[in-house]
Amino acid sequence: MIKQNETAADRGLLPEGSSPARVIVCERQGKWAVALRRELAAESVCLSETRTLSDSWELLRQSPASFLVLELTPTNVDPLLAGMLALQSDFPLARAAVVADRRLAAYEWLAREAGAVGFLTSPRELAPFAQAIVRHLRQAPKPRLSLVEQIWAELPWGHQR
Amino acid sequence: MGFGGGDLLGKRCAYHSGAEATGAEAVVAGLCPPPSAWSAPESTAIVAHTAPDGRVLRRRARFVRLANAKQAAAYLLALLDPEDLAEGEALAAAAADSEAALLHERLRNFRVKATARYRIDRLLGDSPAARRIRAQVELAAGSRASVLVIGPPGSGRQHVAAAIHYSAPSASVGPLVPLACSILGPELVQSTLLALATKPPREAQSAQGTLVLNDVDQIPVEAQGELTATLSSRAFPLRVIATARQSLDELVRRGEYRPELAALLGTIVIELPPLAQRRGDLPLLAQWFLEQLNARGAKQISGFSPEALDVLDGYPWPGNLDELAAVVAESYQRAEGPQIGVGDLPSRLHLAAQAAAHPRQPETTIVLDEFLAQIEVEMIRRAMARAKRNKSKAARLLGMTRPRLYRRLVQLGLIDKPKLS
Repeated sequence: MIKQNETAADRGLLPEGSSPARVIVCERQGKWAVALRRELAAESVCLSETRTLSDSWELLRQSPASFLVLELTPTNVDPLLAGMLALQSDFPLARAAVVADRRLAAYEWLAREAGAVGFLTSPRELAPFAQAIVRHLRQAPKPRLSLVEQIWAELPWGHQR
Repeated sequence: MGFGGGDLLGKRCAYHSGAEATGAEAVVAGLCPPPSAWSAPESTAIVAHTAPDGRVLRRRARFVRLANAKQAAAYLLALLDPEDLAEGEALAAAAADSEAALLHERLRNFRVKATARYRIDRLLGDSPAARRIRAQVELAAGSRASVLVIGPPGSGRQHVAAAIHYSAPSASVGPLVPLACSILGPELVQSTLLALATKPPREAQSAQGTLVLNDVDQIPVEAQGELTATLSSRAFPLRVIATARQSLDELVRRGEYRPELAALLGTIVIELPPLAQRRGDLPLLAQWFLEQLNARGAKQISGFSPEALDVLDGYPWPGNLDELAAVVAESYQRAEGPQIGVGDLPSRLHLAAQAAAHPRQPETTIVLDEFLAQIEVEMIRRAMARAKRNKSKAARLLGMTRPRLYRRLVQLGLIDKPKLS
């Protein structure tokens, strides 16, 4: 049983007009997003794909309590680490995991030190990790919605996936 | 670098220099070679040193392994290039050397930034609580005892944990491994701990690393036995700092926490008060968050108007320091003048002030028909927008006929009634 930890304190951290938490997958090709969608098929989870870190940060500004899955590549190590370090102060409700090719496995502990809650080198490791993502989304504070927004969110065509 | 060999000889190096490290100690800290330097008779790497103005400068170095009387590798001789590398050149040079050298250089860069970010003097405030926290962090940084940081959400528990780790004496700082217990679940926490115990980060063998168990009070009682066994094992290579929202002693009293785990984690306990209990620090903290934004952005805002500070002072701050940072960031975005005024603050702060001044009137009434009509207008507007103004499609989305939708659009004033010619 997952505890619902959301408190008034958490809500206070959501800027006005924020969107609900989502999963943001930033990668080059889409293989991690496909695998993650499969793992999360039974859950009602909004998953967005981006191809650049700056696009991910843009989405994060809209949904500041999101879960980021960031692909580490030989060319983005430095911006990714700098971004992860800033994430803790800029978006304290967000969490991030790092996924990478097996050849970059040596970066696991550096990525964790930068704040990654997990480091995966194969989509086959996703199954237990998907549960962690679901826990994060359940614990994430929900934006305060007006009655109209609440009704809108309940409509089958009311929100875009 | 301004020091002779005699000044540097015999000092230990690490990936970063601690906050207090100065002079020869800081230079030696930057000379730390990658672990591969011990496995070859000769190797090259980039080393760093801190200039008097605080800039981190880098030079290429050749390391020569020296043996002791028993022919065992015991010393490294570092021969430095006379010139510093240009900015950006260091990473490129490391990349050309090897993957290990590149990782080493990145680790060094990261530690320099993290050490600056988590300095003890960045735990701001002049209140008795702030002074007590700084003193406790300093005490914990000088020891290897386990530390438990207790505080409400947003009070800076993770920041305090990192400050303890990065403020340790420079020669002993190893990797920092945070684990989010509240979302990882017992299985992932346990498997990561086992990975750490059996195959720790290479650096943890020579320097002392820290495991940060975040939200350790969220670990279910049935998983606590295994965690206790792993952490109390002699083979476990890291020091433990835990953070919690509530007192573990209280959970023990309620039978929800194993006393041996609570005792293992809480040798030193640091309690962080809610921001509402240290209101005297609010102006300083708000100004500090504002300075961070000034340093990043093109916009420069000098401070807060006295009225805005009054509103900040009257707000209950349920989200503590993190909420204050978010409020300052939102206000900064809105502000157009030289100062942040009352009008720039998020509306929830005004609403909280109004609610405190004018308690809710229970007899306030609504007119149901008007209230429902407002919702209907909004739903029809959104359906029309989603259907790109196509009335047939919007009617389908709303489950009504097109003529009925058209009538409602006219009745609600959402489109003009066609004029009869």
